[in-house]
Amino acid sequence: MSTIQVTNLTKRFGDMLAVSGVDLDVAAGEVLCLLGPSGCGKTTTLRMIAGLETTSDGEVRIAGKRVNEIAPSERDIAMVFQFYALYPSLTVAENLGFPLHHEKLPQAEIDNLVSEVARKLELTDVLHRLPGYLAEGEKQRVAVARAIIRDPNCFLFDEPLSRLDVELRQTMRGQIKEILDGLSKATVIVTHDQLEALTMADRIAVMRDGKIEQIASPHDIFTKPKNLFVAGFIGTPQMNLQEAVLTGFEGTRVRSRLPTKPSRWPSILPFKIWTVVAR
Amino acid sequence: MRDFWQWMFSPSRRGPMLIAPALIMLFVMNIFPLMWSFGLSFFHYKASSIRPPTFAGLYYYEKVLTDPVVWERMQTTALIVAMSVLLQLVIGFALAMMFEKKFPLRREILMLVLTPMMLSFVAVGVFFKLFYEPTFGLLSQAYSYFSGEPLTLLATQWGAIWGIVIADAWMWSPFVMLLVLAGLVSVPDYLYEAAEVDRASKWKRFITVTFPYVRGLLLLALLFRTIETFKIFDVVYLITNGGPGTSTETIAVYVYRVAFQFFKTSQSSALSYILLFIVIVLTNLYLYFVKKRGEEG
Amino acid sequence: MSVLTSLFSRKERRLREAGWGWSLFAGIVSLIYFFPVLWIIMTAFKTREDALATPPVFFFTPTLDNFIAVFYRVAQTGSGEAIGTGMGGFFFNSIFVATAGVFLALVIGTLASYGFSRYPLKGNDTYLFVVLTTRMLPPIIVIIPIFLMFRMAGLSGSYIGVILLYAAFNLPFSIWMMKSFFDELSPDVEDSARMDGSSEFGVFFKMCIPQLKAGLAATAVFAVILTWNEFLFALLLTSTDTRTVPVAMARTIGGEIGVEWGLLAAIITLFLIPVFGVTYLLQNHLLRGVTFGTIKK
Repeated sequence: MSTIQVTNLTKRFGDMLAVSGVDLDVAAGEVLCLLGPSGCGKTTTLRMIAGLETTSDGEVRIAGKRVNEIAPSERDIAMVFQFYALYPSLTVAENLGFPLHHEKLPQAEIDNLVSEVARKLELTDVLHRLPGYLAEGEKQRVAVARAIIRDPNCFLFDEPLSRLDVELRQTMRGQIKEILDGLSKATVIVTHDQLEALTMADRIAVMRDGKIEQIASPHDIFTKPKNLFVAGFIGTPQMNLQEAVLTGFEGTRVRSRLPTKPSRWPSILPFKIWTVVAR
Repeated sequence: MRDFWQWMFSPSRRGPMLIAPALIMLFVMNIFPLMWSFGLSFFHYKASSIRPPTFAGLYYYEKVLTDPVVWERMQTTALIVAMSVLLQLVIGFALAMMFEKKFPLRREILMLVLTPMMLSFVAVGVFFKLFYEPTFGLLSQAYSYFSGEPLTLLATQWGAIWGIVIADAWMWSPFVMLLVLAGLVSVPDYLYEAAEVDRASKWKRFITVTFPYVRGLLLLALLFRTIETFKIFDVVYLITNGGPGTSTETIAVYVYRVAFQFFKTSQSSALSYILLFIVIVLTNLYLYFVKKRGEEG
Repeated sequence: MSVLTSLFSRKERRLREAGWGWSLFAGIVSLIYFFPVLWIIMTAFKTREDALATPPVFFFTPTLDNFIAVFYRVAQTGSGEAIGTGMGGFFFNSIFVATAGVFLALVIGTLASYGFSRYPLKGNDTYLFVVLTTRMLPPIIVIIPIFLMFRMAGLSGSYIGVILLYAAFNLPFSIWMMKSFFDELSPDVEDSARMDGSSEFGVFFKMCIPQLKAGLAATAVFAVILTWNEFLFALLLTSTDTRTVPVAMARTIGGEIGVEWGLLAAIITLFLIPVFGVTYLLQNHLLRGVTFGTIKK
């Protein structure tokens, strides 16, 4: 079964704690987005799942098997890199066929699979070009195509749309979501763009400073943020935040009034207070 | 006065004005002598005689191009160039692979390997001659330790050629190493990562990811070293002096002899021009590939 | 965290780390490569007998006699006085001529490359090509005309003559190197200075030069290294007063019999030190220098 489980994942670079105690559970066919500002540890977490970084503590399980000590090439994963990582000396067709060489398939079958995937992502016209001569959007599609041509345990996307312009992003968001829905693999997408996360993910894990602030469905993240950070991060324009003084409880709601004096207490509860507290 | 300067350096003139001194200097010191000796090559002239030059037309060019001695020298030169450059490429590449990693004292150890490039030709020539010397030379002594006989490397043509090739390759392999190293280091990490995720074998990784980056620089190294080795003079002159006999006389040494020992000034000029032509063709190639590399990068 | 992430996602690859084991391996290989140089240095410290000993001597009592002999020789006249060999003078000449020549080349070259970079002309590529070709010429070609030219101009054997020649010799290199540095500099800074009312000179000297200090230094040092070991032109164009060290070295081996190996080794070692030190400091710019600024690292 294509699943990813991460327990208490931690990563230290020297003295610096990059990722701390991260727990994730991605089911087969589910798309989980790691969302957060630059430097929050999301890419490092992804790389640890891929095996491109070693873990300082914690466990990574792919398809139920512990993989901490296993090299990326043995984990049977597919990854789409932020810079696409297309092999510059190979044509698009050769790039797409590259991952299949390991499976020792006959060339005819490889060609078949390549043209099928190319069709899906509208790359048939550029199959014989070199990556250096592709437009940004085309490169991105080749990167995705190269990942889905295989039948791996899971998909890992590292900021896949960050290099595209706004229009392309819109189109690609939908396209990728469609493709992922068709395959039933656990997928982790790393992004700093909330719009991406809200549209593509089944669940979002908001991260900050190496820790997960909240994991929930996009709807829940949006309407029921757990803390000020998540509340402030999600939503364009930003959610309105108002300092208030707690005056009492009413069933599942609370009473509050606007402060008349400057508040001496640090504000820790957002305005939509009844949905947060009454849990 | 100020107006004069302003006129001199007005925007439209600025480019040419800035370049002018350099071009003038190059012209006087390089191009003009070139033209002079080019002109000379069409006249009968010997630097040693006081007879004024008389017109000769293409006489000397014909002489040079049909001279079997010249062709023989070209062959010798081509052989030495081929052997030395090949050796340089192989050794340079191997050294680059060794220095690709980051290890303690890398900087210092790198200096050890770079030193051969910093020696003057005289030093290399003279001391390698000593190394090859049958009685006192280190090489010979090592050889005789194992075989009981001294090694007279420079006495045979092949031995002498190897002697030159080894000295030259030793000196310049570090140059190739630097270029290859630059190529190796410029490969982006994520390409290797993608290849790993794609489960490519080590060999495939090398062919698909590493080699394309290194290929351009290797070519550059090849061309540059070929041009330079083609002109080889000092090392040959000092180690073998063209010997034994004239079997290791490279084209540059031959020109020198013709000009300064035989004083056949016009003839040497004609020959020099043919050499120049070859060098220009090769330089053109070099520049072409440099441009390509610049665009790739 | 973001600093580290940005470090790792930079396009340049970080070298894989390796430990002391690799240092040992690289160190041994490099030492083997370095061996001939090591031998020369050791010979500098050996007595005459040790230097030519068969079998070769690796452990010996070092002596500084050779180093002293570089600069002083006991007079043959029987008074036993130590007289200077003039080698100090030759060292001075080498330093003086190289520095002055390079300085001149830099001044003219930087101006020219500024022109090439900021005020490109129609024939830019052609000019640059010609500039490069002059560097690639076999010296043989221009040696006779230059020799004659110098004699006619009365420059033969003078400091000025050699300095001019070395300036011309280093000009192509300086131009190519500095142009690549200028190309990297964004013209925006200069434009804003112009808009602020600065004169052209001001723009050049106060804006460009400070930013290019590293480039100037790298170019200067490389040019000095190239000029340092130059032999052929020095041989023909210097007199006893202006002679440089490579020529002096060649003269000490003039007599085939009884080459003073220890002495020669000492000269070579001493002569190597400046180049060595300078290369060590400039390791990071090495690649640029070695390929004329066409390739950056």
